[in-house]
This record gives sequence, structure tokens and C-alpha cells, in this order.
Amino acid sequence: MTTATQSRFTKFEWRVREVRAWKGLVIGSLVTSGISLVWTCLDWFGVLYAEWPWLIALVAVGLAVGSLCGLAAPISPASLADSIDRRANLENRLGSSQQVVDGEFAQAIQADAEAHLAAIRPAQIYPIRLGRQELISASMCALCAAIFLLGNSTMFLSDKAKRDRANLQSEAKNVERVTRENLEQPEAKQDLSDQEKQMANELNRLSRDMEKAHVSKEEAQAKENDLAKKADELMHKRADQAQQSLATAQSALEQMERGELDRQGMRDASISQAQMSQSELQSARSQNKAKQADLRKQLSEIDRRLAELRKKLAQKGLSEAERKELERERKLLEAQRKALEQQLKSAEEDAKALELSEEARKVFQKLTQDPLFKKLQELQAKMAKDLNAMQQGQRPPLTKEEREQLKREMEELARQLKDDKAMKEYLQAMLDAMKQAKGMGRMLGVGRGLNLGIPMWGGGAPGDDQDRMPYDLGRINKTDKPQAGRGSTNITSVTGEKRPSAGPEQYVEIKAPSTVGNRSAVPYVNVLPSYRRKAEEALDHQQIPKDQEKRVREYFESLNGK
Amino acid sequence: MENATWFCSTFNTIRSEVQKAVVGQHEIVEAALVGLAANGHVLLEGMPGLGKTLLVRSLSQALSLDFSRIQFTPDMMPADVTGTNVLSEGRTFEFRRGPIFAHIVLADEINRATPKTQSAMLEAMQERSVTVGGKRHELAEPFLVMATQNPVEQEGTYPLPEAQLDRFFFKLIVPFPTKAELAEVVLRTTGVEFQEPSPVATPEDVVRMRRIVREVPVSKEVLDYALSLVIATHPEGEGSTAVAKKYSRYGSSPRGAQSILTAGKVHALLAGRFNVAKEDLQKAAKATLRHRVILNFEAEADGVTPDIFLDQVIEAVSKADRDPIRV
Repeated sequence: MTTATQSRFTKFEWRVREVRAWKGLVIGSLVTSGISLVWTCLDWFGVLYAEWPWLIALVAVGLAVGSLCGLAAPISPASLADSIDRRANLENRLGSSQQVVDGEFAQAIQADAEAHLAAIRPAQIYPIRLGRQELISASMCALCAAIFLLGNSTMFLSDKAKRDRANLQSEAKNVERVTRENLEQPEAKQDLSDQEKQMANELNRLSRDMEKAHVSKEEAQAKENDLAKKADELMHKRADQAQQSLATAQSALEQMERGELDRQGMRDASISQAQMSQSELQSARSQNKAKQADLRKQLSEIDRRLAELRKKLAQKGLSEAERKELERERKLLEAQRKALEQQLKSAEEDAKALELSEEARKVFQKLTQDPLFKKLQELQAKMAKDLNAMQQGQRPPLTKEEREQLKREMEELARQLKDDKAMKEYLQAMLDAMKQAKGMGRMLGVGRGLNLGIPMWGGGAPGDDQDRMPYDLGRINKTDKPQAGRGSTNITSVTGEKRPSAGPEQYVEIKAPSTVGNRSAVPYVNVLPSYRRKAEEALDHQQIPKDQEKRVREYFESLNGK
Repeated sequence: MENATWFCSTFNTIRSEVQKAVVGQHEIVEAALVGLAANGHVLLEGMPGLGKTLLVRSLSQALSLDFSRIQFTPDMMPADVTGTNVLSEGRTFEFRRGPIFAHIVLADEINRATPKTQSAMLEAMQERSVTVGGKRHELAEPFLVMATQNPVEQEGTYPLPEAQLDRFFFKLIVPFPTKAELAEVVLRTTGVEFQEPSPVATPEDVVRMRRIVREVPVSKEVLDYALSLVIATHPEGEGSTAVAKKYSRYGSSPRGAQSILTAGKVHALLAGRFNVAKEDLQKAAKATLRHRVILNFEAEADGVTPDIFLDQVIEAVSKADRDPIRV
């Protein structure tokens, strides 16, 4: 093949690549727009969620992959020559010119092929067509976009429905934030239990459902309540486990102390006494001495009285009744003496123990003065305080960073004291408690974020349109313990302070239900059907205690007449 | 390139010269010349009086070639074709050449001869020599047999066996002339003047033409297509077509592939090309394969002739032979 032919041939090769890239683009578009169409349909029915950036990305990936595959697909020169021959009706001139390099007609064939090839343009025989496939692909993309827009746009909704959708979407963002901040951090993900993972999934699903308005306000609120309750249960579960770990840690710490005393040869020393202070020990010793003296005095008194009784009994002329009376008194005194002797013996033993405790106290003091030991005790105390606060639903005293610091310190100590079995056990238990505390923190965050039992949607002054929303949700209390049906509710408003600096800020406003006697934000007839429906559902599902069922029915029946 | 030009020019000159005597029958004339250029024998099948003999005679006149005509009959012996040893005056045996010793032999109504005679003829066609009395006698070069057979009168005939039919390069069906052609034929043959062809080429030219044909290159794709066409006529095996499975009893022999390719080369040169195209093969397919395929009873019952069968085979093979670059 001559250079000129080769050059022309290369042009044809590039044209084929271009056409193939276009074809690949169309095929990629067909496939991905088909998938997108199915996806949007699933999204429409709420089975699988779709977002427009994902759909666009999917189609774009299909286009890119298809066109790249088309562009990079190999083209053999023989195939190309054959193809050009067919398309340009060259009657196998080009194919022959490639293969025939010698012989009588070789040159003639080359010249003939070159002349014919020069007469055709690549675009003539490899046109880029807009055909059926392109039309189908474009139609599918358009259909996909239409379905997605119809399902997700608020364009065709009424003003009220638009507001509802906006509120749902706003709350969806809140749920998403709660999930992201508490359950989807990389370190949290590793630590989640199966139930917590399930909760994360449910939260994500709820968030999506709300985002896409696949659930009503009432359903969303009820689901949030359920999840918040579940989060609370999980938090308590974590708390129990944390308490167990702390108990194990305490036990390990005592073992360490006992071990130290054993090592000092004070096996009989009492730990509680060893833990006494110097003054306490002194006081106990003085008391012991006083007690001994008192006991001895009582003993000598009893001895004197016994001696007198013996003398009286030795006298003659005593009546039988007098003798019996004296004998009884003697036996009583002897019994008292025996008891006092035992008390004295016990006091003497106590005195010895106190003497020993002095030694143990010194040993113990030495132990407690050890900075490592002190550190451990401090950590344990902090941990216990943190857990207690969280268990009571209060703000934990330790920040996330402090907890991390605590964990690092624990791990450092564990490295230093890895040879000590009890210490190792102690640290392991503490780390475990810390892990549980973290889990508790997460669940607490979820529970608070979802605002357990307290509607947190909307805002603004009571009575305005937005403010009605939280009260119009048909919430029901699904906790196991039935709530008392009366009593006043104080309006509590917890509002975050605005930062003086510029930039985004977040605050949560929590409102209590209307106070008894005050004006309700929503006419009850507006919410009654929803409430009644929920109540009936609850009755059907036997979620209301048996003895309260009648009361619930009577309540709603009484409202019917009004 | 000069050779190709010369080939075309010579071919066209001979054709024109032959067409002076033969009215119409352009395709038959061309096919006969293709057979001549491709060094292949031609079997002509057609009704009596269609100018078969005239064609062959005209061809020999135009080429300055020796011509002999053998009218086959059932009582004809092989020696009547090949020649025989006769006792000469010097009391020695002398080989007396038969009519086969000519450049162009017209074997008229070959199917009327007995198989024994037919086979003697066909052996000469294949070997280009005859052996009589243990002595081999080379035939003239160029050597071309043009046999004819009548498709109608089958009584008392010995149809050529398939193995012998295979020796023919082409089988041409001579059609009945059109009304205008017939009028021309009638006028010429009943008038005073009859234009005889003049010699325009020599036997050496024919040999040169044959050599040039062999020089024409064939690309792999074209060869593949030729083989596909031949294989597609077989009822079994890979590459067989649905139509062959239905109607074919036996497909073409390898000689079919050789013939179609050689004929394709001639067609390429005639088209002014230096390479064989698939179109050339399609053009040559029927003439080269129609006598090489044996159709079954179903084909006969459905009225499928070899030509119809080959049309369907060509269509199937062409459909399967797709553009390697699909865009």
C-alpha cells in the first residue's frame, strides 16, 4: 500500500472510530436510559429512590462508556479494507491491493485501488445517522425525565400541598443530618450493632420517604416516634452493658488492691480499713481501747458480784426458795460474763487488726499515691459520671473530643500495664464501657434528633399557619406506660443562642403542647379524625392496656357529640 | 497492465468476430470464450437448431484453430473418437488420429454415446492426451471440447454420469432466440450472403490469454467467498445453507471451486479490473456449478431447478457475508 493510500486509509479508520463512538454513545444511552426509566418508575412507586444527579450521572456514564468503547474498539486493516470495498462498491479492489504485493498485476491493483479510494470521502460511506435507536434513546430519556419530574416536582401541587411537601423535606433533612452525624461516621459504622445498623437503614429510608413525600405527615411523625423510642431502648441497652463493664472494672480494681496487700504479706488486712485515713484509724483505735477498758470494768464488776453470790450460797440456813433464786442469779451473771469475754476477745482482735491496718494503710496509701493508679481512678470516675448523665437523658459532661482523649489515655495505660492481668482486665472493661458510652451517645443523639415525643416541626408564633403543623399530625404516644390523662403542661422553650459571628447556625426549638385552658393552636375537629383513626389502630393492635381501652373508647365517643 | 488490456482487446475482438456469424446468444458466446480463456471445456445444453455447432465452428474460424465435429451415436466406439492403430502398407501398425486431435472439438449430442465412448472422450478432456496401444499421444494445445446435449429427447440416451459432468468447466443453457434474433437468423440462413468469421487470433494468443488469466490475483475474502459458495451447496457440514439442506443431495466438487475462481478471473479482466471481485464469482456461479450439484426429489417436486437452487444459495451466502465493520 502506498503512503498516499495509507494516509487515506487512516482517515477512513478515524471515521469508523467516530461512527462507532456515536453508535456506542447511542447504545450506552439506550441501556442507561432504559435502566433510568425503570429506576424512575421504581422511584415513582417508592420502591427504589432516585435523585436527578444520580440519573444524569448514570446516563452520562453510559454515554461515556459507550462512546469510549466505540472509539477504542480495534479495527483490523483487512476488515476496514473489506468494509470500504463493500460500502463504496469497490469490488474488492482495496482488499486485494492490501494482500497482493507482488506479481504481474500488483502495481496495477495498487494504482487502481488508490484511484478509486481517492474518489470517495469517509463520511460518504460511514455516515453518522439519526435513526430509530437514537429516537428510542432520546424518547426514553425524555420519558424518564417526565416521570421523575412528575413524581418529584411540586409544580402541579396546591399551595398547601407545596407547604406540606416543603415541611416534609425540611424534616427529612433533619433526619438525614441526625443519621449522618450519629450513625454514619466512619468510626461509628464499625461499632454499630445489628439493631443500630437496622435503625440507620430505617432512618435513611424514612428520610428518603419524607424527601420524596412518599409518606404523609402523620405517618412520618409516627415513624419518627417509633424510631426515637427504639433509639431510647438501644441507649438503655448500651447503658446496661456499660454498667456491667464498669462493675467489672471496679471488681478488677479491687483485685488489684487485694493483690498489692497480698504481695506485702498482709493477707488478713481489711481493704475497707486500709482505705481509712490516719485520723479515722486513730479514732477507731481509741474507740477500741475505750471499749476494751469498759468491757474489762464490766467483767471485774461481774466477777465481784459472782464472788458475793458464792459466799451467800455457802451460808447455811438458806431456804430452798432463796437458794434457787441465788442459783438463777449466778447462772445469769456467768452467762453475761461469758458474753463480755467474747466481746473483749473480739475487741482485742480488732485492736490487732487496727494495728495491722496501720501497715496496710501505709501500703494502700503508697498504692493510691501512685500516679498511674490515681489516673485510673480519675478515669473511672469520669466515665461513671458520663454514663450516669447520659442514662438520665442529660447532656453528658464529656465532649466527644474528651471521650476520645479518655480512650487514648486508657489505651496508653493498657500498653504500659499490659503484663498485669488484673490491670489488663480493668482496662479492657473500661474500654468496653467507653465503647458502650459512645454507643449511648449516638443513640441519645438519634433520640434527641428525632425529638422523642415532642413535635419539633414548624416554627414561628403560636397560631400562625406553620405553627399548627406540629399539632396537626395525629401523633400518638406509643410508650408502654400509659400517660396520665390530666395535669398541666408547662410551655418549655429551649432556644439556641445566635452566635454573634456571621455564618450558618443551627438551633432547635422545642415546644410543648398547649397548656390546659389556653387557646389551642388548631381546632380539635381538624385533628380529631386523624387522632381517632390512630386510636382505633392502636386498639386493634392491642397497644393500649386492657383496662384503659374502655376509657379511650368513651373519650372519643364523648367527642363525637360536640 | 498491458497484458490485461491486450486480453480485453483480444477477447472483445474474438467475440465480435464470432458474433458476426452467431446471431444473439451474447452470453453464450461470452461464456464459451470465458471457457476457452480459462482452459475449460464447455457443455452446451439446448434444443436443436439453436446455433451450437455454428458457435463452435465460428469460434475455431476466428481463432484459426483446428476444428472437428463428432456426432455421437450409440454405436460409436472409443476408437472412433480417439483414433486407432491401423496396419500400414509396411506391415507396421500406424496410429491414425481420431477427431479428438483438434484444437476445438464439438462433441455433438454426447449423451447419445455409450458410457464407454463417453469415458474415452472425457479421459482425453481431463488428461489432454490419449493412450492407444500403450502409447501416449498428446493432444493439441490449446484444446477445447464443446459438447452439446439435447434436454428433450432422452430416449435412447446415456446421460453423463456426475463424475464426468464434473470435468466440464461450464455448462451453458442455450436459450431460444428472441423474435428479432430469430428473424435475423432466418434471413441470414435463407439469403445469399453469409458472413463467415475471419481469423483474428492465433492459438498462441489463446495460450497467452490463459497465462494472463492465471496471473490475476485473488484476495483472501474473495477466495473465502468462492469456497463458501461451493460449501453452501452441500446438504451437510459446516457452512451448509438451509436451501441446500432442503434440496441438495450432493454439493459441488472441489473442481467447482477451481472453476468458479478461474471464471471469476476472466470476468475480472473483462470488467477492466486486475483483481477478482465477489461479483465476478456470482456471475460465474451458475455456469460453473449448475452441472455439479445434484438435487433431491423434493427439489424436483417443488420445481426447483439447479439455477433456482444456485440463486438461493448465492443469496444465502451473500446475506451471511456481512460487512466486518458494523457501525
